[in-house]
Amino acid sequence: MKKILTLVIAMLTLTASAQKVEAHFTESKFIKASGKTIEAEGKLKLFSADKMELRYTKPAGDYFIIDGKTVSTNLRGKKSVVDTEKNTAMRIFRNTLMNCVNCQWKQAATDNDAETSVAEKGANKVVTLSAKKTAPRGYSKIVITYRKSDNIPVELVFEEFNGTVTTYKISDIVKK
Amino acid sequence: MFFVKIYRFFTQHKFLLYALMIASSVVFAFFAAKAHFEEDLMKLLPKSDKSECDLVFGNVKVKDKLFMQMTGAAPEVMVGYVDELMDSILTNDEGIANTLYRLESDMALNALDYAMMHVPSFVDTAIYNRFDSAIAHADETMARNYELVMNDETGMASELVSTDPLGLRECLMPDISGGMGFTLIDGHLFCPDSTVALIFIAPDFQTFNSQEGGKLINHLRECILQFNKAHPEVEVLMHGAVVESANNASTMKRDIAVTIGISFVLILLYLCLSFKSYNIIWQNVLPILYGTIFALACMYWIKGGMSLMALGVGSVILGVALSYCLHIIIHQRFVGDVEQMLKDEAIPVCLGCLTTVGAFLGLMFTDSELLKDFGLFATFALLGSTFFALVFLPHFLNVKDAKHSKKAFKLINKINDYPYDRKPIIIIALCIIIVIGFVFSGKVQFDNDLKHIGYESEDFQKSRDLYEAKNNQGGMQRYYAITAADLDEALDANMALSSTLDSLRSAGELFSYTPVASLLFQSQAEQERRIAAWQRYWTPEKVAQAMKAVKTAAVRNDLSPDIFVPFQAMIEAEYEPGNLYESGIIPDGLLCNFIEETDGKYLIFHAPQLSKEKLKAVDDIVAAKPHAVVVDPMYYTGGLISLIHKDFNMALLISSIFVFVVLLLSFRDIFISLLAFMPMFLSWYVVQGWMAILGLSFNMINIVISTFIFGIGVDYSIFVMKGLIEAQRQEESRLLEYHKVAIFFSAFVLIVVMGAMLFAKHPTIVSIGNCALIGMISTILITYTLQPLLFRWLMKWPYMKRRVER
Repeated sequence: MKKILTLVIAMLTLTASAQKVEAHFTESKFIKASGKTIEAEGKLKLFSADKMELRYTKPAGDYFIIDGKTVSTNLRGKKSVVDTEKNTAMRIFRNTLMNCVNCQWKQAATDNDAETSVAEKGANKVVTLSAKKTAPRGYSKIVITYRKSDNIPVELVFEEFNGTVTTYKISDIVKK
Repeated sequence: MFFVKIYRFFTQHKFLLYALMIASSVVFAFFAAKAHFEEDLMKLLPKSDKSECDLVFGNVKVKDKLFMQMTGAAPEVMVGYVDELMDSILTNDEGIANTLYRLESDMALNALDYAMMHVPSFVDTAIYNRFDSAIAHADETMARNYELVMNDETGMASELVSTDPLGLRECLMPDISGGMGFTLIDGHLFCPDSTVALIFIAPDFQTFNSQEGGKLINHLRECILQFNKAHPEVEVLMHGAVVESANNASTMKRDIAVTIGISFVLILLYLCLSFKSYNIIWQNVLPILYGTIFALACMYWIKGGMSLMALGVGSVILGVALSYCLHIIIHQRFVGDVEQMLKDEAIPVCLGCLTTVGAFLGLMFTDSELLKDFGLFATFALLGSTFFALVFLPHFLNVKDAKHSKKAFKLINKINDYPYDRKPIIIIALCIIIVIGFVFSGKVQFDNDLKHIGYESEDFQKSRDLYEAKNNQGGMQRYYAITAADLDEALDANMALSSTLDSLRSAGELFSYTPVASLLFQSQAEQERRIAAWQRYWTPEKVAQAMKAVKTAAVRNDLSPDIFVPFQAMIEAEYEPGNLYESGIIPDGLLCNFIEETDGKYLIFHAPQLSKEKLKAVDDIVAAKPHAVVVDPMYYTGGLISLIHKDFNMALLISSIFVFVVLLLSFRDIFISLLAFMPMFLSWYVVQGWMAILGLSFNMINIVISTFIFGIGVDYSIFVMKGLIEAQRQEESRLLEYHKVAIFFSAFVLIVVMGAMLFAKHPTIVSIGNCALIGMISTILITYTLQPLLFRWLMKWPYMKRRVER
């Protein structure tokens, strides 16, 4: 029975990760160093397990696109295309984000050498990944809130070791 | 009589004659067409003793890279223009190994990422005292950090501050960024004052492969032409070894076509007018053509091909073959009897051919492939031409054809009959010329710098001068390299060269030098040493001291003391050695300026800037270091070409002995032989002396012409000597007159060709013209004046008179 349950969960997880989703997102980046918060928003599109777009309407023109191993960014007009095979930090960030969005949080925890805890919160499930030790880069804590019904994340909080906290809130989710 | 018998045989078997001539021509032409022409001049030089040097002659992209510069518009505009031009160039990337004109946006991110993972590997132990200073000055750095953080709109600056609050990066970065020497505008490379956009193109062939170089340069020129039509306000210039090599080849080909072509037309026109017959053209051309295809076929059979340069210079030797044809044709026109002509001419022509071939075969004793190729080609060309002239040509000579322009021949006879050997003023003047030649002959210089025989166009010079003025502080950039079969071995040896160059910079021998390669790349062992040093430095006490300084300074500057966790994690982290060379972070176009793997060996480059005056001294210091090489083939060729020069002198001595022995066997008299040998001997000293006086020097190419002077000198001398002997034996003999007419035409032809070379653009062709012209004129003067004078004096000696008249 336990095996069947595990299989069903795995299948559901796979189904969730294969979902095509469009949604609105807001991004709030709190920089502890300056005490400032930078607000942004835009449209999120999840095409497949390894392809996702964050196209910003504020600031307009910015984007963050994951397409396979490549991450393309436009940050205030400064464009770059990074091959994550050559960039460890970007690879960890890309993998963490994709795993979190695709409900592969266990893999994200392994990649970030983090401990995990899961809590039920009404219709949502809150997964917390806490780094086991400090590191020059990466995240001290990641909190992901999934809709229990379809394992689609509605909120992601990334806390860096320097205290910078980036919160993504996802709404108007449309499954394609 | 041998050739007379052959003539008689073929007269009775005409079909066999034509069959042999056509069949042999077809066979020779077939194999001649298969011959490969080597354009790489470097392959023709003797091998250096220092094995590392072979790499410098090989496919090293640094030495072969092509510099393209764009100027004339604002930098922001040129950024787009450079992309446009490069897009057009790269539509056909044949011959291009890599390019460098912009740094891709991810390079900085990837480099930072790599640096973060291997921080200790970039920290030389000497830098730790700077770290101490950085800790001591934490307050000042934190004030700057505050400004950075408060103006941060993306979070990236804050991330940088929390990772490196003490500005340790500044302890490392000035050394590295200063060494790049570029200004980056929107990721594009510009010179330091941003007025010139820079493009570097590394070819995927060797510089001296002028065939491939020509293709690439033509493609680039076409792209630049099209680009300039759309953007006439900007100027695109290019220089570099590939451009120079392609310019050289095209200028040389154009010069040869123009000078030799025009002079040939003039010569043939003159011959036709003088002989009132067009037959004279093919009668002269066919033997030379036959000799050429025979020689090329022989070269194919022996070596598969030959040097293009040797073919170019060797074509001058065909002038000697032309001389034999003229003797045969002119003599035939005088005597009107082929058999008589053969009786009179076969021996002097064969003797001339044999001695000239001897002069060329002396070159086989040298170590230079160029000289060997030249010697072999000239030998076979002369043998083939002479064979055709003596075996086939007589059958095509019209026995009744004795037409000639009386006016022209009257003038020729007037010149030939002038008693040069009885005019004291001419004799004295010639003696003075010879004595001066002897005196100054030792002073002639041999220029062993191959750069001086190259052609540089105005555009090329402009491009190079612009680059040096904008990027090299008025000096020049010189590449040195460490080579080893293993990257780690090369990196270890690299530290020593880096240290040497650093000392030279401190001593003022170099304008500037940044050991970029040494800063970026370290061997595994060195990285392990540096990681150990890092751990020794960042003791728990030192970490505590640094963190206390950082936090205190942060509080004083209104920054949170809790944001520096990444910094502490960085200094306390465990590190492993990395491999930046193979990380793929640095693009090939940039990487090949630091490290390159070629022919199974690694080369690590250093590019100091220095003045031209100090170049040789610094080159010598570097070249003496183990594993170190000067990345300039010319540095090594200088010595090798000097060896060729020495070889060549030995070859000339051997040739001289051979020629003299042949003359001795032929004339069977030491005095007559010495007399026949004299023009060749004296003219060589006259050439050397007068070249010294006129400020001309020998180089690797024009020195070969001395064999031509030898050849032609000994030929004229043999013909005049035969004429003089015949005249002594039979007073009514006109052999000397006939020979002198042929010599006149031969000399006319060669002087016109050599004279035309003086109008060429290419310095090598001009130098060949200079050298050959002096040699030709001195040879003719000696043959026409001193040889008959001394012969006459000799005939006053009854013993000699009896011997000659016998």
